[in-house]
Amino acid sequence: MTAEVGFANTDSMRRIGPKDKDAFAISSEDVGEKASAGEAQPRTAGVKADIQAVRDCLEGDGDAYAELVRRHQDKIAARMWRFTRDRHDHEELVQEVFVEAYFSLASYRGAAPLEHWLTRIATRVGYKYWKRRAVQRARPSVSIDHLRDLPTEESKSMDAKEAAEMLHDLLECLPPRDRLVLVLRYVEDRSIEETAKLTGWTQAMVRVQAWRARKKLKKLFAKAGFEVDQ
Amino acid sequence: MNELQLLKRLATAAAEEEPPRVDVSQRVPAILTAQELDSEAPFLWIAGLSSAAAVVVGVVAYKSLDTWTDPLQTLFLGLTWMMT
Repeated sequence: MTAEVGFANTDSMRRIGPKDKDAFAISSEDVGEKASAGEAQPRTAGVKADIQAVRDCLEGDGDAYAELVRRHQDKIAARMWRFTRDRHDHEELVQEVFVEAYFSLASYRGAAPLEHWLTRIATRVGYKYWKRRAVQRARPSVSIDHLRDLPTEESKSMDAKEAAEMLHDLLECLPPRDRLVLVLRYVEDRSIEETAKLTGWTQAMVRVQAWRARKKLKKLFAKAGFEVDQ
Repeated sequence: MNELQLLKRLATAAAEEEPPRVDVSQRVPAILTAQELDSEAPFLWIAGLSSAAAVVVGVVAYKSLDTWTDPLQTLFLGLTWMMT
């Protein structure tokens, strides 16, 4: 059913092509530079394919965008799973990322792989979702009592699903800004520079935010009954 | 253990989790198409109203042209009607 109204309807997609397609300019030399810079061959091929698909989209080829979505949806889905544990919301978020990306496609310059660009959009979409949720519930309704089950010895292994749920519940007790900085800096192990790029904050702001978030996290662990070292 | 070590311990274990797979490659284009149709709706209304106004103006203009090119037509029409 959806296929009928989907990219089968490419005429309509042509009409709604991303705005300002002239703003998009990638020369074939750009792609060549990346290849000669010693990047792995499959990755370069992927980047080239992405750039070509973006070009096709901007020229009104709706099928090219469907192909881009297919190529990147697994990574974006994995990323959005950090923002929600609700399957319905998760799917909506993945969708939202690609819809937003489509309308911003003309701003993609091809300087970095499309995946990085999509990650930035995904982070923004996820953060907005957290902010919406934070407004909906004035006080965190999540209990962190089950954090006591967290084994502190390195040797003890944990169930991945259980750990992910604990992590989610723990971070849900924090304001969205703290949550975002903790996820990017410590859960995903990103540098301050990368975190700043993804959030759009300055590096100084990332440092300050991370410091504040850590203090709040420490209090949370203490509240859950952990003896947290200084 | 400090708070970061505890957090990283959770994060490392959680990283093993397989996220749910979703396929939005059909739905995204459908949403984009629907958004386009929504954004076109006001223009369709304007186009419809403009067409209706144009038809009215056309009829009035035709009548006016008739009267202007043959001013006695109305009189003769009246007389013909009376005679029959």
